[in-house]
Amino acid sequence: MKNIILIATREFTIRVRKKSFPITIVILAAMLLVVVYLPTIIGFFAKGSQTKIAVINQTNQSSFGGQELKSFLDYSLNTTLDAKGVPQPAKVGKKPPYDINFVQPSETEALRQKVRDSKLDGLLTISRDSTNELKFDFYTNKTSRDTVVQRISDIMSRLTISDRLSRAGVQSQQAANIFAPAKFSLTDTEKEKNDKKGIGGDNYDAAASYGLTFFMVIALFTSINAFGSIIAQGVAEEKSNRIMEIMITAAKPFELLFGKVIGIGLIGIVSILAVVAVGVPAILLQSTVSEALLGDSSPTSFSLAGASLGLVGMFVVYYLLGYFLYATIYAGVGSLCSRIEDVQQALAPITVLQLVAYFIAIFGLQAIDAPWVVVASFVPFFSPILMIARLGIGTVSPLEIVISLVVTALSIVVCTWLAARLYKVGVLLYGKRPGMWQALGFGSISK
Amino acid sequence: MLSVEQVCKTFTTEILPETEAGDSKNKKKKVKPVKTKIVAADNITFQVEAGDIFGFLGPNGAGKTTTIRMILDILRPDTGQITWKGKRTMDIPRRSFGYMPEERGLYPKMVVDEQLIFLARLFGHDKAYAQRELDYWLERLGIAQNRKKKLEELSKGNQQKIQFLATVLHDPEILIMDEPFTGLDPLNVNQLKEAFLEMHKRGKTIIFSTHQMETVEELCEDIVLINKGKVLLNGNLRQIKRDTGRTVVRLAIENDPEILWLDSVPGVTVTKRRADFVELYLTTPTSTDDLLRLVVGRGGHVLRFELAEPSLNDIFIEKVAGVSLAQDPSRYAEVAQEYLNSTTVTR
Repeated sequence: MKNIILIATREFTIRVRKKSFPITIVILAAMLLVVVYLPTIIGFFAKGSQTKIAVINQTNQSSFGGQELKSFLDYSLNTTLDAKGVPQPAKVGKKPPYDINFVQPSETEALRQKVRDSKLDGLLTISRDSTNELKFDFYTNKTSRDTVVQRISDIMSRLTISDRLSRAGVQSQQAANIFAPAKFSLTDTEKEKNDKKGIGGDNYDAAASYGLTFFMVIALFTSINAFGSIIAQGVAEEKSNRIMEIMITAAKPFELLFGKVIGIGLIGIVSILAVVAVGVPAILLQSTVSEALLGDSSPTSFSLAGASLGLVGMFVVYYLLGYFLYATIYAGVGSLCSRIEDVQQALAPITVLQLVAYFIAIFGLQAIDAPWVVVASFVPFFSPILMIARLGIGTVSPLEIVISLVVTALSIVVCTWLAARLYKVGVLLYGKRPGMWQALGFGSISK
Repeated sequence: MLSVEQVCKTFTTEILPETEAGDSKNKKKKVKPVKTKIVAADNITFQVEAGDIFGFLGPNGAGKTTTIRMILDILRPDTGQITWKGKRTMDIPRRSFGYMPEERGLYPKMVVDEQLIFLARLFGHDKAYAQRELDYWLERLGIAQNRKKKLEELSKGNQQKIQFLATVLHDPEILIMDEPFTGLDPLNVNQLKEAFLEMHKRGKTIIFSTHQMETVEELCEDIVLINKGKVLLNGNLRQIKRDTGRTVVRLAIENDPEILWLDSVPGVTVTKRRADFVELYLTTPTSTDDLLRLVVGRGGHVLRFELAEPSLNDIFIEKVAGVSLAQDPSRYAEVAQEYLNSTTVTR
């Protein structure tokens, strides 16, 4: 035990002391900051920019079906809805997102030139065709899928319907009733559950919990993969510079194996803690910062509401289990390589296994409660990453958590036993890399 | 006493058979590797007295490293046992052994003192003890100024000294060193030999392997010589030399470097003609006194007339290659040259 601590301490300190370690932490933290503040940053640059649209009305009418054209356009384009769907008037002293100008037909050619020069976002021409139907032409340099074009097209459809109703003799008050929104309310089970527990509440945000889960799945995959290959390379390096011959006389093989796995695991934990230490305040301050910069809280702000303490706790548990499961195998495989160059090739099967788990998790996020995802979340090697995905956005019963923990713990025991066996044989073997089966001692091999 | 008793160890490896050229049938078939047994230790038995400096000799591939690994309990013998003072080596603490492998190895990017203290602590010593010992030894070997440097920044010779410290710092009872003197300049060899003798004075048992027979003759009382996993010679070095039953004479006469007339003297076999002397074996009917009388009677100024023991080098080559210097000097010279080349290449 004392030797495991000594070896783990050495593995930890030599890596932490490297210049690259703080740099890596800073880069990771900076990446997290960018992700968290992306909406604010986008908002900041979008602030003050307006979509300028010029309108030429050739219909000799200023009102359609009781809708006065100018105020209709202004209302439709510049009013934002709050979270509950109540229209919010534009704030005083703040530029509205759309700037609408009515112009004369004689200016058409000059304005088209402005659109071509990107000085104007669009020129909307309203006219009537021979059947007296409203006709719209939107001259713009944007594509048909652009949000501005989509929005204008929607609004013009509504205007057309008002106009048709009016021509059919429907009174404007009746028309307004027809257009009143349906009484549709949504209750999802997760929200209901959280409401009962008194957490989340109105702030519960499905998009945020999806984002957080996605982030955790990626973090689990990349971190285990990265630290696993650091372990394998470390073992191969010790073999290639022959320090292993001395280490093996000083300590038992399993002490060497665990010391390395624990020491490098600690680095992973420290980096995650460091990133969390930067990330959590950043997320908490996000709305404050965005208010200060943008004058209001952005509706797209990422809220932490999706992350209950329980989920974070389970992430830590599954991260540690997943790390141990893979780390011992990485060490065992690393011990079979005599040179560092051989390591990547030898690791290919494990990398593939991890990639499969990762892709199941990523595709699983789209259909988290599908039977195949549920079944896969009990398969050893897939369990940690898939349970994180399911806990994040799906529904998991406590029994399922217990089953997955037991399955993973058992596979850790089996893998550690196999890896220790590989390690014991592998560390003294040089030359051609033996097959896995042989090295485990099931075939015969020099040992 | 370290006792190696009837130890056997066999490895199985798979070797691809060589396909005969032009054999088209063989090319289509997948060539299957053939399992081959390699006997690394075949009934090896020898003893090392506690406190002895012991030479462990054998050509490359003789099974030395395997035997050493079995003594260290890194490998387990198939049959037989190895004991130290009556206890099996697998049952005694690991700190009893200090091992310097033939392929040197330490952490190249780690600072010297941290690295050595780390190893001493792995062997179960506390930090203060390791620090004390380290201070002493760094001073003793004249490399105290290097303690805060990374290993890779040191010269080859100094790296080797650090490697030696990694072997002795935890104060082992038994030192096992594979080729401790290769790659060192004479000054460093001397320093290391003194350190060797100091460990000897401290009562440590030292087992070392080398290809430099002069070093063995200088330091060792007892030796074992193995080849192809078998013990060829074992025992007291002086006794081994005496047992050859040969008298070696080295003779030099002024202005006659070759002394060709020696070839016609019965009982005389010239083994070496060097620039500084001629070496010969003497057997009946001619005694050393007869030869001396003959030389004086021939006239000429005698520069050297020396009785010597057969060198360990000669015994080594005779035993390993099975060529006798006395019976077939020319063939012997060939084999010796071959052997010398092979060892320098593989080292």
